[in-house]
Amino acid sequence: MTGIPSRNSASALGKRVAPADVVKSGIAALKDRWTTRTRFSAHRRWITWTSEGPELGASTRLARCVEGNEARLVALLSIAFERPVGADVIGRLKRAEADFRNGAIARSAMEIALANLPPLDDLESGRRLHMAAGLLDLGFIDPLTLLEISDIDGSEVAKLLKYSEDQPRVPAGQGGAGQWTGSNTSRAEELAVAMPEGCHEEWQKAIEICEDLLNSPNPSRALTGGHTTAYGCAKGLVSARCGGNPV
Amino acid sequence: MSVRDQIYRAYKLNDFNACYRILNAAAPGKDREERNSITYWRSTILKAEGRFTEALSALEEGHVDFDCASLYSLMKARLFVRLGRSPEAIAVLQSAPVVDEHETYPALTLEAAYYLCALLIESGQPAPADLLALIPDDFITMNDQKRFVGKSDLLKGSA
Repeated sequence: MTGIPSRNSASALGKRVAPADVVKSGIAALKDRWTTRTRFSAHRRWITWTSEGPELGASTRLARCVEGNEARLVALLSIAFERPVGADVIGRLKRAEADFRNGAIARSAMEIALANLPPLDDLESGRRLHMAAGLLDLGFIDPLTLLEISDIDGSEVAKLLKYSEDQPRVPAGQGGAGQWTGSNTSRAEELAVAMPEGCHEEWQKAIEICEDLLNSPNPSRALTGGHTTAYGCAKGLVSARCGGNPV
Repeated sequence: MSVRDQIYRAYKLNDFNACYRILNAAAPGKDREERNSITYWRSTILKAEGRFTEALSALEEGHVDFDCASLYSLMKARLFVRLGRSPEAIAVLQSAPVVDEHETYPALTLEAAYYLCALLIESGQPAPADLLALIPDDFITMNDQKRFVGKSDLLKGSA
């Protein structure tokens, strides 16, 4: 593993990449965001399921859900641990996600533990994962290329990609590169967040309550938590089952 | 007890009849914040019931009591979108004092800025640079389809 892939190394492999200025500003934004993350985000040594998907390292979101993101998940875990991670981890992640959706948080954590992945202890691994996930999110690279230029064996990821060759995928150079996409699905549908039943509505109502609270020059700090975004405020009103702050 | 304190529970339980009882029984008098809350919730509940035209009328009736003009514009824009009148939604948000109000109402102006950028991109127009700059990279909100979306979704859409 030689660090974060550069545009040149991707080009050398003949992969389609975004224009240089877009890549440059995207990477700069990722670096800035890393500074904020190290200061304000919890460090997750183990994969932790949240309402927005599994997180690892500096609360880096690995994917929004497992379905359709298998190659991305295996690639990111391989980058984080600097070694090829087997595709069999997907089975565990799927069960962990299902348990989380059903509100069985402890069982979800147990499935993660049974995946036998080491803890992500050091900050550098967290930074590497943050940058890699950001590059995939921005559509600068696809999961297989990410591994190729990081000198990590990508055969497990290639295997996962092979399973659904007939299914259309978002091409490299576009947002969500490498992720499966349905022919009739909108971007919003592609970004579907895996959450337990009723949680989307709970979040929506919490955001509406927060908008009412925040429509005052001096909103009650006790209710809004002093947050400056509706999402941050809503997190304090949503149940822990749906990813809200634990009471 | 204020309308706000009473209505949250009923609204969370989808008990719209109880919500209307609370709103109809309220006597805000000269309390502008209370009047604003009544307008906000009447419009929000009508919207939740799918009565978008009535929600719009309720909102417009009480618009003078809104502390944050960007929130008023945002609510109006969301209703316009539901009514299939996206160009009007864009127009109302374009005239909202989003940047001017940002310091006082950061949360609500960010929501308005994001919504306007998303609508513009959806209609094939570029998002204003000043509004994009206002939105932090880690900003998260919920869109009309109840999906979490962030700034990267806007950037992807405008690429």
